[in-house]
Amino acid sequence: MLLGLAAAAPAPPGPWFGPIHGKTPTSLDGGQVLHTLALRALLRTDKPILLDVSEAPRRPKTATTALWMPLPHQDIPGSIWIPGAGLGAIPPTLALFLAQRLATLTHGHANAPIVVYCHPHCWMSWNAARRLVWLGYQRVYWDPDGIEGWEKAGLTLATVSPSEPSTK
Amino acid sequence: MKRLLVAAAALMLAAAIAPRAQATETAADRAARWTALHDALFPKQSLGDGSAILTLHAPTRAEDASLVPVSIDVAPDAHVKALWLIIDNNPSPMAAHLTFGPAGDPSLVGLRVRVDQYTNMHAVAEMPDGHLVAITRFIKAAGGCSAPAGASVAEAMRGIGDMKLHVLHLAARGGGADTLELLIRHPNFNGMQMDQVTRLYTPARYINAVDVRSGTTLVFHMVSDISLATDPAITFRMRPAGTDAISVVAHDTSNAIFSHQFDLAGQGS
Repeated sequence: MLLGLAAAAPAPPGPWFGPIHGKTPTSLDGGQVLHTLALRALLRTDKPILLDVSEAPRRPKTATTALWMPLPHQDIPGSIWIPGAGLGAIPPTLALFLAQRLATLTHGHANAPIVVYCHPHCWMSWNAARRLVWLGYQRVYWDPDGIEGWEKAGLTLATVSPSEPSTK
Repeated sequence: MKRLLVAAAALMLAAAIAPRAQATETAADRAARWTALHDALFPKQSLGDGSAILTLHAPTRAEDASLVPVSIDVAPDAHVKALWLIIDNNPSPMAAHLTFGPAGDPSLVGLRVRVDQYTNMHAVAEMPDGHLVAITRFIKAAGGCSAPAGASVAEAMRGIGDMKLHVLHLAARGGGADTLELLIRHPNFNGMQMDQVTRLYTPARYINAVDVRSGTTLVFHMVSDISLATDPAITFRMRPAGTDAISVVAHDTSNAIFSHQFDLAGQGS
């Protein structure tokens, strides 16, 4: 559906550092591509960990906006949302947090299924999925349809709070 | 699970994204959002129906969510004191608040704004007796998960504060209002753009106040926020106060002040 809109982008050897929104590859080295309906089936059979890496709105730190009231974030029910985990480069604290959360969620099993997603035409989920492959996970799925794909299929979303490294 | 390749990621830093969100908002969700915004922005004030005097123009489906042209028409005899433009679903919804001076003519205000996702927009007007009226319009715009790839900060900052004033319409001598468009060169960084060179988020820096005067008489004072697009453009009307001189003073959140003088006599139309 989405792939018909544009030709695929070639997969970079490392993370993608370019514009986050754009054509993405059609494959994931070391993992599998999974579209909405296949994800739904996998949820029934394998109960994968769902990892949403959509970005969160960033409140300006250098000035006070007139009114800061971001909408609650909604994604696929049961997901863990780690904003920023799909950027081309991530801070050490976030990289460590991501690794530790996954170690907890998978109980240290490298073959636990994990589905990574964000939005269509968005490199963040691709980057994060690759990051999990590099961490050694053996069943990494990338859902390029993301939140909007889930929604378009008539499935319900749930409001979620971000999981982030604690700021001391 | 032992192969934590944290180090590879650790050396690198953040890229940039704008928020993006759900499109299955129901009418009830939108109404609840507006109730929350109403309480935050206009506490304990009732908002009447503004459809008799206000019209909000915006594309139904915007081509570029980072640059959506919006204009508010106000019935010429309404003499509103102030106008607000509110983009409900933006994280910082209050886009602009204009108060009009003696040389102001509030019958038209045009702005270019950023829209993060499908949203209602509201125009709110303060009537001469102080009561508020509002209208709403739904627009479809979504920039995807990312702010447009920014230029380098140095490039974006080039010419900051430069201004142009375009004459769109000059009224006949002795009557009517002039229609003008003010362009201010300013990156209006919203804190969500990435510097393509350093790959760091560029700190927010945006125009937060603009005063336009005809001679020394106030045309309007605008308070604005991160929802205004890069290079703010403001279309407005004024009734010249017996002079061709127009002065503009703009402030940004880094306490920079940009001021320009224009001479309408030299502008032609």
